[in-house]
Amino acid sequence: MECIIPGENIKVLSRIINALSKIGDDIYLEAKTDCLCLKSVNMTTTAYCTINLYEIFFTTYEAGQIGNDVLSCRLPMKGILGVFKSHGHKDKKPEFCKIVLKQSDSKIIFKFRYKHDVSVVRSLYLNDGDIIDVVYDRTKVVNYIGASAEVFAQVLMNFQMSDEDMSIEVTSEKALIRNYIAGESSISKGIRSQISLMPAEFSNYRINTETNVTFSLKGFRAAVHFAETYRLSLLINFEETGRPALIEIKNPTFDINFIIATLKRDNASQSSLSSTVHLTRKRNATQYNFNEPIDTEKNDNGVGNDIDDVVPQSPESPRSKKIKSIFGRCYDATFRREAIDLGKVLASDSDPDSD
Amino acid sequence: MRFRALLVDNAAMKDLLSTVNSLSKLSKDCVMRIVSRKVYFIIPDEDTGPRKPLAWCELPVNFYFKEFNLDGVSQEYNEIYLCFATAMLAKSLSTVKQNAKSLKIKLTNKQTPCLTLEIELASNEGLQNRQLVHDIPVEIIARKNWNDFAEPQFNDFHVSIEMPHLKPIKNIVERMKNMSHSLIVSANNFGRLSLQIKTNMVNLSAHFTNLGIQSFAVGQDNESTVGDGSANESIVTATIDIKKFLMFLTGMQLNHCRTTCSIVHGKMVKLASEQVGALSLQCFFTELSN
Repeated sequence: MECIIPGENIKVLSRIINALSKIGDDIYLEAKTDCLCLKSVNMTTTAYCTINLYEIFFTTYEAGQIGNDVLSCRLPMKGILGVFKSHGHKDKKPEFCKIVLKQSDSKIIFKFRYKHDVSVVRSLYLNDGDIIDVVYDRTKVVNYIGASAEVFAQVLMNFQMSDEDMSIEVTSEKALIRNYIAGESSISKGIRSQISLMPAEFSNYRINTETNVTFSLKGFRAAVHFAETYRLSLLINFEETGRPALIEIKNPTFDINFIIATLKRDNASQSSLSSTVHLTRKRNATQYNFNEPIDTEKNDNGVGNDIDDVVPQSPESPRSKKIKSIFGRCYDATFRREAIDLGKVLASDSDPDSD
Repeated sequence: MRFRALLVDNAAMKDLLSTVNSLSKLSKDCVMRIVSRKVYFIIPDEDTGPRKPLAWCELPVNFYFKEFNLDGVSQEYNEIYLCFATAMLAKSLSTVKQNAKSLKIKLTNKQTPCLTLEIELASNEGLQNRQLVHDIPVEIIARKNWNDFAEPQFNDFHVSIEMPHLKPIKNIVERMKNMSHSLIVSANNFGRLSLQIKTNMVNLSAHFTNLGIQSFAVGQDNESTVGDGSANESIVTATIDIKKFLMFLTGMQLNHCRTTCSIVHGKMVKLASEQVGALSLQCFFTELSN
């Protein structure tokens, strides 16, 4: 793969990589015939982002594809952030950047060209690992809301920096966006905020089923922040509680698809702000794992546990809740009934105790 | 207990925001006392054993609120005392900087007692309004603890002197803070206010002259009478914690306020900012004991 990025787009790419760094620790790079694809997934596979840079993003772009194999590699996030962060001479912008990735090479080369024939070459060693891919069924999308990043930025301004999750409750008349506080103990500590927006505020607003989705603010903030710099608009596609949501940012030269898991809950809507509050949250708060893992190739037989089989746990201290939100997956049930097929006897007991 | 207040004037909302912003710089927590004519914000001093207010802020109801309904703890004591994190209120109120049309403040019970702010924002396109709700968890202070937050009454000040513009004072005190942790505030009967620090290395004082004297206790037995010609000059001084003093100066970013400084010789200093009819804020600094 060999491509040349013009000066003005280097900044765009650098911002894109910055946004990706809020998601995962690695960037997966795939050189497709018509676009360069950057991907990142977070550790718990609850957020996944693909960015397609189309041919017109580049001055020249050659995928250099051999046969059916798409040239791909995995780059450490820290390294690539370093490549784009400082261009050495801060006052001088690079005129163009050339990226070269050869088949079965152990490194990728970034060549920045400045004025007066100054060029800086940075090479980055590749990480081991497979390329990931996401399976997301666009046809299932029943709801979408879209608005300029500015609107979402104004909404986000009402939340605290310490807020981790937000939930969107949509009806055909209005959308309620609020911060979501996990765990009961913290309810008395933080501000709960809710903002209600009329459909007229959105550029696209289609709600087929009224639902309520909750997802992490971290990635969403990054997406909104990025879109705001380039005055783009965001389109949030979602199905229902617990199913992943897709956030799209489109531009003629690139597009961003950001898939984010949503929190699965039972009927307990933690609507601090509505008058009826269900107190069944205790059991629920521990299931911080997003039950619907994104279907990555690596993750075919997902670790999805069946909530209904879990025996209600005893009340916990707020401290252990914090631990669980950090080491979420460690606390997943390892026993899954459906994994053991009790119906069929594959081999009879070799030493039956029957007398 | 019931409390509900409505603001419709954007200027009043901004005034309220700037007051709360100032208070949030003084302390993490504050106590809100609501009575039928006034709303008080009280900042308790964390250091002293018996809790005495460090700052005392009064807002008259009729200046800010269009509607104001209060059902206190009982008919006899028609008051409510709440405690909450000042920064939370400041952060929640900050939205009124945008185009807020109305602000409703309510006491609600949503799992925990909450101070609920309902803000109606005019949307940019002017089509439909945005509704914004913030719930700030609060703690209700029981009747028996109310005495901790009684207004400190002092009327035996030896001097009350008008303060010059606060910004230059802040800059001076900021530098003084780097050298010493105590500040000597003194005023004489000719309208001179002095801020002084004394260390082993350096004595540094800043003098502000020709300030208006509001009251001066004449004929008090003052040891520090200066005998260099002007026999009539008498000086009142008090030594206070410079950090707290600076905190007040930093927090006092209120416009249209007149500030006075009152000193009880060797006991305490009071700074009072007032915007007549809209706001009064007093800060109390006690003499450093060493």
